[in-house]
Amino acid sequence: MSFSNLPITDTSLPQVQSVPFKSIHPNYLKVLRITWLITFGIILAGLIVLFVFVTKLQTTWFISIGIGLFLIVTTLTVVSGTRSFKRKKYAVRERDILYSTGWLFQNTHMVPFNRMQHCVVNSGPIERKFGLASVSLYTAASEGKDITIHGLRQEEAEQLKDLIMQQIQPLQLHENI
Amino acid sequence: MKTFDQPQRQSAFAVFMMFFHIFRVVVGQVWPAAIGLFFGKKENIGMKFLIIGGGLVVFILIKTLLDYWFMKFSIHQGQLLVRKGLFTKKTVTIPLERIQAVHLEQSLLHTLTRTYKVLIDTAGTDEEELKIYAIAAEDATALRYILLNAMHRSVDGGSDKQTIPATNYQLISKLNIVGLLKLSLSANHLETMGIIAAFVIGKYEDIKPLINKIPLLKQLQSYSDTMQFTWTVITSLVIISLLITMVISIVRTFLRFYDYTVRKDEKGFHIRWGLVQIKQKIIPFNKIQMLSWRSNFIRRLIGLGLLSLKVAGQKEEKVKLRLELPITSPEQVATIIQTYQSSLPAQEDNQGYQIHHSYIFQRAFFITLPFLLVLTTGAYFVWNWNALLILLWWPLSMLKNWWYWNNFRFWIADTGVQRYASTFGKNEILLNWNNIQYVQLRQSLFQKKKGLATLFLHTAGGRFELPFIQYEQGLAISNYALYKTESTQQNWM
Repeated sequence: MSFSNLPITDTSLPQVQSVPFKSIHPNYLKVLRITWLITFGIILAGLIVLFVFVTKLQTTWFISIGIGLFLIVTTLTVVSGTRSFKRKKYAVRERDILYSTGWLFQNTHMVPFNRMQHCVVNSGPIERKFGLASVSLYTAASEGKDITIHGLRQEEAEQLKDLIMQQIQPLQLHENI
Repeated sequence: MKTFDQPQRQSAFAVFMMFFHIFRVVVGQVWPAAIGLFFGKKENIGMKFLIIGGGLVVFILIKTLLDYWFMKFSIHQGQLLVRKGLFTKKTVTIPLERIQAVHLEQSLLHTLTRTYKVLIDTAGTDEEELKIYAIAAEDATALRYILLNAMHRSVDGGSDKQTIPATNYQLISKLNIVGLLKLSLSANHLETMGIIAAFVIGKYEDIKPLINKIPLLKQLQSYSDTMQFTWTVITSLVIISLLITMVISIVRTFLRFYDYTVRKDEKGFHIRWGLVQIKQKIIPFNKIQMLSWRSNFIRRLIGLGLLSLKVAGQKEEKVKLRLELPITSPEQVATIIQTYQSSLPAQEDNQGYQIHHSYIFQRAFFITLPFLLVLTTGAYFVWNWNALLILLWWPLSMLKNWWYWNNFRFWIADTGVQRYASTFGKNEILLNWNNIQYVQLRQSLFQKKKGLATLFLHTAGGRFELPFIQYEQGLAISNYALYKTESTQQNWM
């Protein structure tokens, strides 16, 4: 039996560049920044309320620790998130999907179509505002997180989902996956 | 043979078992707090305690009766249907071919009432494990055969047979009393001591009032406050704790492995064990995703080990369904491996590959050293400069890492991948390429600088890890793993 696993060309997957690994949409960085702003804004507000109302915490020690921890966590999240964003790339081949992500720990996931159980397109309110969505790939693997490709354009995510479903279904006809 | 086409309830005896189960869960959660409440207050709390306790028992009883009455199961059009709930009706539908394993358990009470507890394990994340607390022995056997037939049909390709499979059992291992004693004595007593210590510390605050009420414990506590902790006292305490731990450890091993018998037929493994509660499990060969076998230092010396069957959908936290088979000879390992994979990669290529020596330093500097520094800083407030003694562990851990690196080997073959790791004990893992779900190649910044990576091969029964290999080698193995996974339509389950 001959075996091939060539990259799928532009014509097969519309509006996807011909390079094997494709970067995610630049607007996803804006989505991340807005998410961080909201999350850390809420945490900051909570901390302020805590320090205003709990008199026992109103010492230089506690306030310094609180501010210090907040700044460390915020900086780490923003720096690692921004660096990680630059490394988020994906490629679709005839028989699998490759997804590269991470900064401190750089991961490349390789997921064969014949092991995928299903896939889901997600789109949160901030992502929707920027016309973005993410695609989660589900396998039967018992450990490790499910793989989610963030920062795809809405239509691109739908196309990717359709492509994955097309790839999974013929395989499922042949075997009980 | 019964077909279960009509919805049916569990055996009436199940009410008792369900009540006992719920009661045990509730009491297990609240007993330390209840003791604290009962002994902690001066005023007469007995009546309140009785009312709360009584109310709790009545609540559990009503819940049990409702759960029992509204739970019905049946088999219809190749699906196992379970209906439950009074207010919120819930129907769980499990396609029979998705069932991973069927386990029968028989406690002393089950034996007296001629019933079995049936556990049905599924792989999917949507369906939950189905537990039938008690059904008549003949019904349990019939249900198991129907489910097993369906499971085998999904593998065989659909021959519609409803007959009981011919049973041609081959005995693989049977743990006799000598083996059981060896297994008990060689158990990891330090681990048991850690579990007991964690439990006592965790519950100490709750049961503190009890200590104050019981004269002997109170006396012991006051004695401990005034006692000088000399080395002799500390050593004696450690020895006493170790002896208690050993007794508990031996009892645990006896309960877990008593009369452990592994047989196989043409479809799967039949496992049976139990002292007070007899348990039976059937694991079809095709459900096994990965194999591992391990021994601690003492077991390694006396040729004992535990072989773990990593089954699809089995969560690590399901301790009850943990499939660790006691092994008393290398032949038993070989017989079990034969059913998973025709040959061992290590036998085909004796040399194998080593991981990179950076593993030793990465662990020493980035994991052990920060941990020890934090521990030493904390200990400084109690032991002053003596806390620096903790740092002596660092060179020892480095030596341990070196030993691990020196012994670590992995082998790649046409059939699969195998790894061997050892410091004091040993651990071997075998993975067939066909069982891979997806591949993950990870590089930390440190690894990237050195051109290294860690490879994870994910399966439905856990993941296989090759740490600190050359990045290029990682890519080559990934490509080969993908080729082996994608070039066949062979079913992984």
